[in-house]
Amino acid sequence: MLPRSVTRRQLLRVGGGVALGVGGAAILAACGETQVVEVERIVEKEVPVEKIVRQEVPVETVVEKTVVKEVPVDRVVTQEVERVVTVVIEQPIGKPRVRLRGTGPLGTPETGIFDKLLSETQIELDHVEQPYAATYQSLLINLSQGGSAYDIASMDDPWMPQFTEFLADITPLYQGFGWVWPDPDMIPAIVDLGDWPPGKYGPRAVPNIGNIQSFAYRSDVMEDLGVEPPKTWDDVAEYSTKITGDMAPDLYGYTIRGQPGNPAMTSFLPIMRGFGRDVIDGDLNPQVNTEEGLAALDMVVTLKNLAPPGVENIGHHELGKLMYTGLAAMSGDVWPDQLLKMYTPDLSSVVGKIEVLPEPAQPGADHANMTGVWLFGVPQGSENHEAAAEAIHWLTQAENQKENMYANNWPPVRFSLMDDPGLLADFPFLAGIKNAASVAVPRPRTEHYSIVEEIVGRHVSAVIAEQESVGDAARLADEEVRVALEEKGAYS
Amino acid sequence: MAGGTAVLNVLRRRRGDDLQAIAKTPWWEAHLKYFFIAPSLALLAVMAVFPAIMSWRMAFARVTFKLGELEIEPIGFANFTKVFSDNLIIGSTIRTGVWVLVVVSAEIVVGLIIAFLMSKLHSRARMVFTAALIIPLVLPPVSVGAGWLVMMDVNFGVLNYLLSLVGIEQQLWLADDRTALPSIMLIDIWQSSMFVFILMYAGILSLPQDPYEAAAIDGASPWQIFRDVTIPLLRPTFVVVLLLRTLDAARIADRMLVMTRGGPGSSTETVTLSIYKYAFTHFNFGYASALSVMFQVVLIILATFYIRRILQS
Repeated sequence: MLPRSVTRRQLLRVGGGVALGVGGAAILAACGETQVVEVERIVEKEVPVEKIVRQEVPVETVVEKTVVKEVPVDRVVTQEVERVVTVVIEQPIGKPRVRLRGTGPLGTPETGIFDKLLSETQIELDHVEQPYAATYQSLLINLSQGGSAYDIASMDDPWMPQFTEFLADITPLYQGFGWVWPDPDMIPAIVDLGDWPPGKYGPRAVPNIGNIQSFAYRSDVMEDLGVEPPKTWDDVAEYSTKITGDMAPDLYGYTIRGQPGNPAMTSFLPIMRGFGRDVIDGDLNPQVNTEEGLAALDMVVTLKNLAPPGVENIGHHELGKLMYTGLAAMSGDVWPDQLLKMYTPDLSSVVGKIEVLPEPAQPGADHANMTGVWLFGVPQGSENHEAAAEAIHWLTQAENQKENMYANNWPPVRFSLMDDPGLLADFPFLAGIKNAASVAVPRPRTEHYSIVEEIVGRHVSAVIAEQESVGDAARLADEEVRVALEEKGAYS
Repeated sequence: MAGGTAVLNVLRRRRGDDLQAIAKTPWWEAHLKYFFIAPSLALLAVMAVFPAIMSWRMAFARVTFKLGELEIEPIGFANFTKVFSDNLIIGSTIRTGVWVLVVVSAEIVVGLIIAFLMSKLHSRARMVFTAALIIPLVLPPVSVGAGWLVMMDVNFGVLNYLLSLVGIEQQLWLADDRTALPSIMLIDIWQSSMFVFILMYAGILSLPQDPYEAAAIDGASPWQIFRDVTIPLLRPTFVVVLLLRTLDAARIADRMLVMTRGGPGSSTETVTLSIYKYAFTHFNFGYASALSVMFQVVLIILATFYIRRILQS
């Protein structure tokens, strides 16, 4: 028997019909209740269920679609009941599950923090992990355009001047739950980082990670030198000269980040401030081409020449590695996550030999450690303000901050944890971070800081790489910053 | 004669049947091809044409982020005239030109040599080597950059360790403004030569054998055959490779972003990396768009030139 032939037209018609059918079914399915009930097993037993079934009518409807055609009628009720019971357990009546999406550092899933959040609050938090720069860009676009892509934004403190106007007001959200805001247990200077311009909107973000940049040094090396820990940048240069002169290539005096932009700038800022001047003043006038700025750049050149080879292209991780492998004795650009590595025996050859201090400062200038605090905010475009506030409140509780310290070395922002004996015993450098926090100041507070950082950081990098002289770099940095800020209307 | 008439009659009848069939064809079936192409066109319009139009519009404007909107204030050609006094962009443009010239030339030479050698191998050996050689090609550039960054670490990298075994002193690789760009060029050549190799290899395998046989009969040496037969016959492939690699090399940014952030200083900063920084660090979308438009025009001119050459050859 010959096979039945099919014409092209018939094939197209049949194919079109099938495609329409599949598409239509998909659309109908998509329009239906999105709640899906997973059934792991069907237990065939009689359960007194009438009341529960009545309470869970919407879920029951979903169950009927799959069960009725396949199972004898007399078993349907029992099977439905088993499903409904499952739903009742997972989804208590009166507290529906809410799904939120957040980005930036929220917590470490491996510690089970998000599972705990779900079980205690019925809030399921999807963590969108992105690199630092991508987080910033994604947040800026989403927040400024009123997008609902994120319900929780975890933000670095220099971003706050750009973001506060796009964030929901935390105070009424917290008050709706009967919580006090600002939380009196949180360090006020850190809470204030979420308030920009000061007093205009009030604190619109809740701090979660109390990152502080600090000056770290090898206590054993200082002992060998017979000197006190450095207090000024001149001390740092003097000790580095001795260390590098006597011990290189096994040990170098100082290390600094040379990659352009944020890395070089983050290493340079504590030095510049230690000479008594910031990179921009209160009116946003650039300050690198000043007596103090030039002296700070000269100090950068001095320290770079006493650093391990290759610092011209190192970033955060590489600097930490130079410290925990014992190749560098001092750095003024050390952050808590790096300290944790220095205290990890599997990684570090300097366990117990690292001490932490406030940043050095020249006579007459203030010690100025830099804050790198991360804060939670609720984007105005989010459709889940209350649930986001509830999740933020839960995540920033003392117990969770303590877990973050153990999991990630994220320093807490609560007074009650700063002096916690257990934490201090497990993290001996926490006391040093606390001292550094007492003199910490944020990066210059302006929504244009990323521009200043990119320009000045590029020229500092060029100085470190000996591409530009100190004088040229300072002049060009100031000129470019002024032009860029003028274009932004910063002086009008 | 009679047979010819019969054939003509059959053809006329068939043609008549076809015309009748066409007349009966429903409208939707006659225009079915447009329905098939419509989703792609719609997608292209949304994903490419609309952003391109927005980019051109922003190039002539000052763009400011406001809550829920973009404020686009026309400022004429100001963004375009600024380019000529921007030392960073002038430097990036020169660097990008050098980058394209060096990496594309080197990749064509390396790719051609590998393809030629491969064509001389036994078929089983070819399979093994081809599989091995395309490994770099399938790796994402960002992963490649991150891997090489670790290997080129001055103090802990495997490259300096290997050099030290043979008595060569520590190299600064990415940490010296004189060697940073050449180091990244080497990585690009290592990875992208394999793309050139694949195209050249396919080109060589599809060459006609007659000219080779004629050259052999005439007593040509292997070098003469390569120079006077293989290279001229491969000309269309060369032009395609040049087009694809030039456009791709000119757009380089990801490798620098991962490995050096454009440094030390700005010694590895390319045009697209500068555009990225102006857009996402300075948030000067107007100026970044103007740069993108100018860059786009240059690439279109280059592509047109190459495509003409392809059509001519």
